[in-house]
Amino acid sequence: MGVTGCHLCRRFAAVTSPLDSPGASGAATATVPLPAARAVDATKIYGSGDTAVVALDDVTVDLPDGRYTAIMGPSGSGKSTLMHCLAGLDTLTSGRVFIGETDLTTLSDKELTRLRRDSVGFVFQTFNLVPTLTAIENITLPLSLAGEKPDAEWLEQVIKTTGLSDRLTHRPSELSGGQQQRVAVARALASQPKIIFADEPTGNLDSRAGAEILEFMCRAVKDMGQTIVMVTHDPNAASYADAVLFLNDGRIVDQLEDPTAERVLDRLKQFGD
Amino acid sequence: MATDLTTAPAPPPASPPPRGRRGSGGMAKVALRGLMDHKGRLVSTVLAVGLGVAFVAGVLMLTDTMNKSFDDLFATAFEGTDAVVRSSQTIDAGDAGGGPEIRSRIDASLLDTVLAAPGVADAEGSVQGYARIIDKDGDPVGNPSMGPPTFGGNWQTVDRLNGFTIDEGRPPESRGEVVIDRGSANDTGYQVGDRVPIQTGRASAEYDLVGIARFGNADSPGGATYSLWTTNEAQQLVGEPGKYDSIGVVADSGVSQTEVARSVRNELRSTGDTGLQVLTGRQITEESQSDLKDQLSFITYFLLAFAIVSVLVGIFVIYNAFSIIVAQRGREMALVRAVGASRRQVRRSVFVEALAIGVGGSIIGFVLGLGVASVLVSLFDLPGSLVVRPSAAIIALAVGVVVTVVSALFPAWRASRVPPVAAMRDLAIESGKVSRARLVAGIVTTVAGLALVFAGADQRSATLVGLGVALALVGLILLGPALARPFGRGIGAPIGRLRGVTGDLAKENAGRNPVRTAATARALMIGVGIVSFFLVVNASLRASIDQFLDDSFTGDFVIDAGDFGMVGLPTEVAERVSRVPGVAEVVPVRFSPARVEGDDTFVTGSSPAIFGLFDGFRIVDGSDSLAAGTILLTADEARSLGVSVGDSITADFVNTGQHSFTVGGTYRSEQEGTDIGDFVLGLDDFDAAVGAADVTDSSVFVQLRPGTSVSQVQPEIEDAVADFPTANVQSVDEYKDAIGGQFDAILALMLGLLALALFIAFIGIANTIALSVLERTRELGLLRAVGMSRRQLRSMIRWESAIIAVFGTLLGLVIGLLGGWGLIKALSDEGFTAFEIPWGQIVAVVLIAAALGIFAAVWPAWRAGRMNVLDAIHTE
Repeated sequence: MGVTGCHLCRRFAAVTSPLDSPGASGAATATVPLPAARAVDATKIYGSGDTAVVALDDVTVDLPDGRYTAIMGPSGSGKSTLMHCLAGLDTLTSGRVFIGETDLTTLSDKELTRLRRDSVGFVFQTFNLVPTLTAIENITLPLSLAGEKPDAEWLEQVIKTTGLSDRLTHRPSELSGGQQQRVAVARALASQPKIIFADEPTGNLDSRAGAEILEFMCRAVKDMGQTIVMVTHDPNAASYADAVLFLNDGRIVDQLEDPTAERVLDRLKQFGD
Repeated sequence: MATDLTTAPAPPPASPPPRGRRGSGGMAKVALRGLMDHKGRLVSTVLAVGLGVAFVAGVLMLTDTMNKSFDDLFATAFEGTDAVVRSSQTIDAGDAGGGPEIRSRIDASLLDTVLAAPGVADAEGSVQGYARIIDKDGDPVGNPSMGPPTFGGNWQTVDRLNGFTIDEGRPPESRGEVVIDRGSANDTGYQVGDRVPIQTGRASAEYDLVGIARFGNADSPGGATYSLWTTNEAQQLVGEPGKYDSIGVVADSGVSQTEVARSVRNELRSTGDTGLQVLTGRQITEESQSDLKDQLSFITYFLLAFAIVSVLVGIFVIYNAFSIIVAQRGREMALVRAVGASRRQVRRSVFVEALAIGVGGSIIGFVLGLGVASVLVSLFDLPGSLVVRPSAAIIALAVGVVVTVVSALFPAWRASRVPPVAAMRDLAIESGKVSRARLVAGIVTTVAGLALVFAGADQRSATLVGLGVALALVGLILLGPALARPFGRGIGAPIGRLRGVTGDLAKENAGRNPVRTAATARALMIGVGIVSFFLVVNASLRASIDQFLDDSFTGDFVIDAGDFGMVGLPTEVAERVSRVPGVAEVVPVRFSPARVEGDDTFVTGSSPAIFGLFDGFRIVDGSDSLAAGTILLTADEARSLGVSVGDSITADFVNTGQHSFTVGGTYRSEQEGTDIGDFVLGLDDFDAAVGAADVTDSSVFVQLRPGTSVSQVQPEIEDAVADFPTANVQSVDEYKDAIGGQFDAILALMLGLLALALFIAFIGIANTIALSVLERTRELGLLRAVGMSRRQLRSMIRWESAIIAVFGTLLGLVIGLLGGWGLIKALSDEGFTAFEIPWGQIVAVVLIAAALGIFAAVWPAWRAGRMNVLDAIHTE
C-alpha cells in the first residue's frame, strides 16, 4: 500500500479555519446544518416477483455539507445504486432523496438535467471526458451547456489546484489517466455544485496517480468547502474521507469517522464472515 | 476483496451472440445473429438496397409492360390484315432531324389491281397522317413532341382491316363527319353529335362527331389520339387526293398470308407497277413492333441511367454500413479469430451477412418495384395491366445481391485483417489518420482531373471533360477523409457560434471520424453532383438561348404549334399574318426529309428574309436571293460535297422524285444554335419538290415595320390566326419562356428521378448517425450526466448530421459545377454560348440538403435522447 490518508490535507485543514474557506458551506454549517444530500426511506427494487432484487432497503442517510464521505460495501450491497439515486441518475421505487432542499423524486427529466448541470458534479471511474473537447473545454462543459460564463477567479483557482495549467488545450487522448481524472474533478468543481459524486474515481489508476486524485479531492473539501460523496471498494481510497458509510444487502450497516485504511479493511473483513 | 462494485443489478442485457464456433455453420450463425441483434441497422441497410433494386425492377417492368402493350397494339391493329402493299421508296432522315422515315404514297388505282389478285377476299386503302383535336377550351389535345402521337386518317370500312370498333354512334359516311377514339372523347368530354374542331397541317375546321371508337379493348391505341374521316376527306386533310399510304389485304379463307402476298406481288408485277413492297400481315406487325421499340428504347435507357445512379449511391451506402458494422464488431471478430476462426471464416461471415441483406433487400426492392412500375405505367398512360416477367425479377434480384456483396468485399477483407490480439485491447474507434499515400494519390488525381477538364474546355472536347470530371470525382473520393475535418469545422463554425457548446460538439463529432464522414458524404456527393450538373446545364442552355434570341434575332414574333413541326401549321397561317397592318416580313420555315446527293437529310424551305432575321447568318459566297432553281447550303456541306456556287446538286423527295438545283450561295452560322439546317430552298421550289399536300410550317417568324408597337400588333396577329388553335403567337420573351418551359419540364423530370438517389443517400446519413450514436453511447451518457438536456443532445446530433450532409453537398456541387462548366465550354461551338450558375437553385440545394440532413437524424436523435443515462454510462 502506498500513502495512507491525506496527511498533508489534514495538517492543512488544522491550520485553516473552515470559516476562511470559500463557498457557502461555512455559513450554512454555522447556522442550520442542512445536509448537502439525504435519502429518506429510500428503497430500490429491480425486477418483480420471484426475480425481484432489493438493491436499497429503506435507507435513510444524511450526507453532511462540506464533508468528504466514502460509501463502501461488497458487490451488490447497493452502494452504487444509492449514489445513482442520490445523484438523480436513477429513480427510487419508494422513498425520497434530496439535494439540498430539492426533492429529486418530484422532478421531471428536464428539471433533473438542470439539477445535474447546476447542483451536482460527477467523477466516473473511466470515460469521464468528452474526447473531442480540450481539457479546459471539458472543465467548463456544464457551464457551457447552461450557457453561462465561468466565474474566472474560481476557475483559475480550480485549474491551479489541478496543476494542469499547461495542459489545458490538450485533448483527453493526450493526457495520462491521472491527468484525465484531475480534469474530471476540476469539471465537477468548476460549476461550484452543491455536491460531487465520485464513482470509483481511482479504480482505473495506478496507486500514485490514484493518490494524487484523492489528495486533490481532499483539498477540494478542506480548502474549497466542497461536498464529495465517493463510492469505492479500496480501503486506502476510503481512508481519505472524513467518514465512511458501509452498506450491505441494501442497508447501511455501519459508519466510521476519520477512517484509516486498516480500520476500513478490518470492518470490510467482517462482511466476509 | 470485492471486484466490480459499480455495476448496479441492471436488467439483464440481451444475450450476446454465440462466439467461437469453429465450423463455418457457426460463423454463419454469428453473422446472422449479429444481424438480428441490430434490427435498426438492418432496416436501413435493407432499405438502401431495396430502393435501388426497386428503381431497377420498376424500369424493367415498365419496359416489359410498354413492349407488351405496343406488341398487343400492333397485333390488334393488324389482326385481320393478311398482307400490306406499300411503296418501297423511303427517306430516313431520322439521324438528321428526329422522327421516323417517311415513305412515298401509292396510287389509289392500285387498289383495283390488288382486288383482282387471286386469293384476295377484300382490300382497302389506308390514309394516315397527323391531326390535332381541339378541346372545348380551344387547346389542342396531346402534344406529339412530348407524348404519344396525334393521328388522323381514314375510317377503314373493311372490318378485318380496322383495329377500331365503334363504341357509340356510327362510322363517318360523308364529308364533315369524324370519329374519334374513346380516350380523346373522355379527355375532352365531347359527345356524339358535338361539333369538334380539328386542325391538321393543312387546315382547321369543325366536324360532326358521328361516332366514338375503341381500339381493341383499349380506349385509345397507346395513348395516341385519333381522328378518322371518310377516305376522301382524310386524303384531303392528312393525305393526298388519289393516293393511299398503303393498301391492306384480306385473304380468302384457306389462303395463307404468304400465298396472298405472293399472289398480290405477281398481280402488281404483271400490270407493270414498280417501286412497291408487299408484306405479309405478320411481317408488318413485327416491323411496326420493332420500329416502335427502337423509338421508345430511349425511355428505357433514360430511366435505366437514373436507376444506375440510384444503385451507385446505394453501393456507397451499403459499403459504408458494412464498414461501420465491421469496425464496431472488430472486437467480436478478433475474439472469434482468437478462438480459432480462420480469416476465410471471418470473411465468409461478413459475406453471409451481406448475402442475407442483399437477398432481403432485393426481395423488398422487387415488391417496391411493383409500385414504382405501377406509378411509371400510369405516368406514361399505358393501357393494359403491369407485365411482370421472370427476367425482370431475376435481373433485379441479381443486381441487389451482387451490389450488396460487392459493397461488402472490402469491409469483409478488412474484417479478416483484424488481429486476434485486438480482442484483448480496446479497439480505437477513431480512425482519423489519412495515409500519406492516399493524400498524395488524391491530390494528384484531383489535379489531373482538373487539368483534363480545363484542357477539354479549351479544346472543345466533351470527352476530355467527362474523363476529367470522372478523375476529379475519384480524387475527391480519395481526398474526402482529409477534407472532412477542416470542411466540417468550416461549415460547423457558424453553428458553434450560434448554438454554443452543442454546435461545437456537433462540429467536432462530424469531423471526428473523417473516413466515415467522407464515406457517408460520398453518396450524397454523387447525387448532388448530378443534380447541380443538370441545374447548371439547364440554366446555361436557357441563358444561351436567351442570349441568342436577344443578340441575333431581329424579329418580333415567333408563331409555332409547340410540336417542333410534327403536325406543324397550315401555310395559311403565314399568309394571314402577312396581311396584318404593321407586319413587315413574315418568314415561314418548313422542313422536309430529302436525299441530297445520295445522303438522307433535311431540306429547309424559307424566304431570303431568313438571313436578315438572324444576325448570326452570314453569306459566305454567292447570294441569299434563293432564286428559283437555286439552293443555299452551308459552307461546310459545300466543302464536303465538293461543290461551289454555280455547280449543280441533286435532291430526291419521296413524293416528287429527283430534282436538280444550282448552288446559289453558301452560308455560315456564326452564332451556332441558329439551326435552319444545311440546305435551304426558296418557298416555291420547296413546295413543288415536297408536294403541296405535305407542306406545313414548322415556325413562322414575324418582323414588324420600324416604329410599330409590338403589344399593339400582337392582338391583331392573334386575331388573324384565331381559326388555327394550335398557332401560338409569341413575342420574343414569350418564346424564350416557352422554350425554357420545355427545358424546365425535362429538368423537373430528371430531378424527380434523382430524388430517389438522394433519398438513398439520406438513408446512408441516417444509418451513419444511428451507428455513431450507438458507438458513443457512453459519451452521450456522460454528457447527459453532466447536464446536457435531451433537447441539447438531440440538437447536437441533428447538427452533426446536417454538417455531414452539407459537406457531401458541397463536394457534389464542386463536381457538378465543374462538370457543367466543362461541358458548356466544350460545347460552346454548338450553341452553348453562355455559362450560368443558377445561384438561387444552388443555395436551395444546399439548404435542402442541410434540412434533409437534420431530418435524417431525427430518429437517431430521438432514440439517443430517450436512452437511460445510467445504462449509457455503463455500456461496454
